[in-house]
Amino acid sequence: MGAERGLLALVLHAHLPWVRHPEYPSFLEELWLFEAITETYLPLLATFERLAHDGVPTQVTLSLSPTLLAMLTDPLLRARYLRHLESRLELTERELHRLRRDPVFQPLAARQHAIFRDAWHRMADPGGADLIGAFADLADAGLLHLMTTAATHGLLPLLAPCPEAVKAQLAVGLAEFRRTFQREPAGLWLPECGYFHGLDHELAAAGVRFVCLETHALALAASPPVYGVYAPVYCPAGVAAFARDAEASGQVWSATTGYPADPAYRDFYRDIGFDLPHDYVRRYLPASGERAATGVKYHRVTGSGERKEPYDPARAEATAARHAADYAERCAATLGRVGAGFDRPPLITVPFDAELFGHWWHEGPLWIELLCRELAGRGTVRMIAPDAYLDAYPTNQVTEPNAGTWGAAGHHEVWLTESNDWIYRHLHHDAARMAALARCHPAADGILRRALDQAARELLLAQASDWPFMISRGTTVDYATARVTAHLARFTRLADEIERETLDETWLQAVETADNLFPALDYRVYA
Amino acid sequence: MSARSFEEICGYALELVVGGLRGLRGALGHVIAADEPADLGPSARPSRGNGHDGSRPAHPADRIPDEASLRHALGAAPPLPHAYADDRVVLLTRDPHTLFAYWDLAPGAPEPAGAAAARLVLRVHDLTLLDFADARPLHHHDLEVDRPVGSRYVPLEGTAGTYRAEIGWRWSDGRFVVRVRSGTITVARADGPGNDPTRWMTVARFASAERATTDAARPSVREATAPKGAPSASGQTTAAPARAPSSEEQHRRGG
Repeated sequence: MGAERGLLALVLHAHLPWVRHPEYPSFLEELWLFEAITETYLPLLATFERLAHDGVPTQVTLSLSPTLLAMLTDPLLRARYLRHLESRLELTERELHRLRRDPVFQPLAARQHAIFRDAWHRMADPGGADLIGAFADLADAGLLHLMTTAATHGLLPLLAPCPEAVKAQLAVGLAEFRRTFQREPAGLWLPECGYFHGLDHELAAAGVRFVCLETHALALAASPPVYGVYAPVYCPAGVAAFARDAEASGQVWSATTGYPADPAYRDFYRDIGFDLPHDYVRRYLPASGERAATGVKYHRVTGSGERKEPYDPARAEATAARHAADYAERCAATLGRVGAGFDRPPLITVPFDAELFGHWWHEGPLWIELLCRELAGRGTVRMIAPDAYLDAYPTNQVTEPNAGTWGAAGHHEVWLTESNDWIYRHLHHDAARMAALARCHPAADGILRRALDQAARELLLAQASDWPFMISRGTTVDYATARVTAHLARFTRLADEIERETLDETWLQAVETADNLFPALDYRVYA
Repeated sequence: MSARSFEEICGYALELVVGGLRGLRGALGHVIAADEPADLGPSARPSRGNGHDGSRPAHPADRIPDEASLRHALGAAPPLPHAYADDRVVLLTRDPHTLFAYWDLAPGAPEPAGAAAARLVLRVHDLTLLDFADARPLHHHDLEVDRPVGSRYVPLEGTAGTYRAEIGWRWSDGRFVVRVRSGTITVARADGPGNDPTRWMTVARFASAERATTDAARPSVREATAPKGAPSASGQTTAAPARAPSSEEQHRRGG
């Protein structure tokens, strides 16, 4: 064991937009959740459970978004997930047979089959399927520090013209976490790390202890950060802000120079849904019949070209071990370098989208496990959660962070551009209208209460940062546009009917059925 | 693998697999609820960590309509309105060098005398360094507004400032009459940290969720002196880069 040089805060943010379509027997975009459960959430759980079982002294912070929590506890989606796994089990059974004489690819098919089989066994068992309970157990064990984000991942700086919208996003998100986990969140993940001048006062009023911000939020703060990004600052209202360390993040995050680009790792894009004859895979593709990923992948990154070599799990695992050791070494070196002259151990904060680990980077969960073990064994870098850091170091510099996000170019360029700027006039108008309705009906009950609650749900769903992101990135533009439009239209109809006192209960019930998240929501959060 | 051998294998495999899957489906059927819509209500099953204990009273939405009637009820969303006629202008920051302004002017609003001879303009005021209300802005620039509902991206000369927008009538002699006014917004820095003095704060541990809602249990926030041995701002030892690689450089969800 070497002398401790500093601390590492690994913060994972798990989020998916609310996608649930009971009006269709199956729905393509529901696959986002199914793939994330199989490839990220279950592998991460297994990773953390092994670490806890082995008593590895480590701390990881995990943010679970309210929309994800709602989907993970939804019976319809759980049933559909099992059906999805059935389909993948069928596909990999066929693959096992097709490749039965192929010594290279048959073991890869068997490996894929085992992944789906293990997922099915866990999720088909009522105890195993309780992912929320499993995360709570890991929090009780002290390994995970759980937190959450705004209700539907609304990008708060762009909702700020209507302050009630920001307050409601925060209040509903935090309330859903408390209702789900029966505990206080360790902190709050700001959607897209989006911060604006004065937001800290809303955060403090909501009881938020800390947030994570992009590097430039501290580097360009109102006063120079004396520790750089290697310690948090307090915003003027007393909320702590931990900034992402660019170097440590890029080593993992970058698609071109980061670890996930190593030739040994499994290739994300190469999938039998594209490779095998259409007739063979058609039943596992979207109803439209278009080619799509099935989740069955047999190749490794190999290089930047089209030619891909077969995946070699042993080689990938060895590479993950090497990368975990390399990361531990790099962190120790950085902390040793920057910590000179500090009165406290320097801290590296590395926040990531959780879905990077497993979904995009197949070996990511393994890398996390190996990193935790490596750091615990070396003793030079100690993993710590931000709230635990604040317990140990309650005195920090105070300054106003710079506004921005962690998106491309660091501000709102992704979420506010020519392709998606049309959204905001509707979001702002409807938030003001919702606030007026809430003030006009301070104690509604019966069907009026239901309509007001549902109007609030629809507005929150329209505010998700995912929709403008998809539109500007050119991915699933039609779906994202349809979702914004549908939620705003439902809100408008509900608001019209409330104002005219002409509520259509049949239609209200249909909308409640489709968008049934946040059952404890109280529309008066907008008052 | 040749196409021929693949087809042969597939044909044979299908025979075997379909039979095998029938058995698998039979084995799994008791736990797969996909064919049991009555079990798919919105009330969450209680979980170990889930405070939603399943005791919520029966809700009308618990009666799940079938897919077709639900699809019919939800229907296709009507198009969003082009305008709300709520007579407003709103400013958003896009980046440290660009604002986004949109406006929605109500038709038939009262006009000042002589409005026909004036041009409707979007005026963006730079309020930076003004620290009292209603002070005269130091700088502004105007953009013509050619329609009652619209939007513009407004380039900024400086950054890290405070801005406000107005839409009003401007006459050739320079007179300006405000029609609608936005809220003020603060734009991010782009070139370096500010010059505020270094201050310190101690925040005591936050109380529980319930208690945090009362003033008595709010965290203790107080000014503090610098910890012994803390680096000084002038002797900053760790330069942080102005911008990190963004998440956009990696794949993102939803795509």
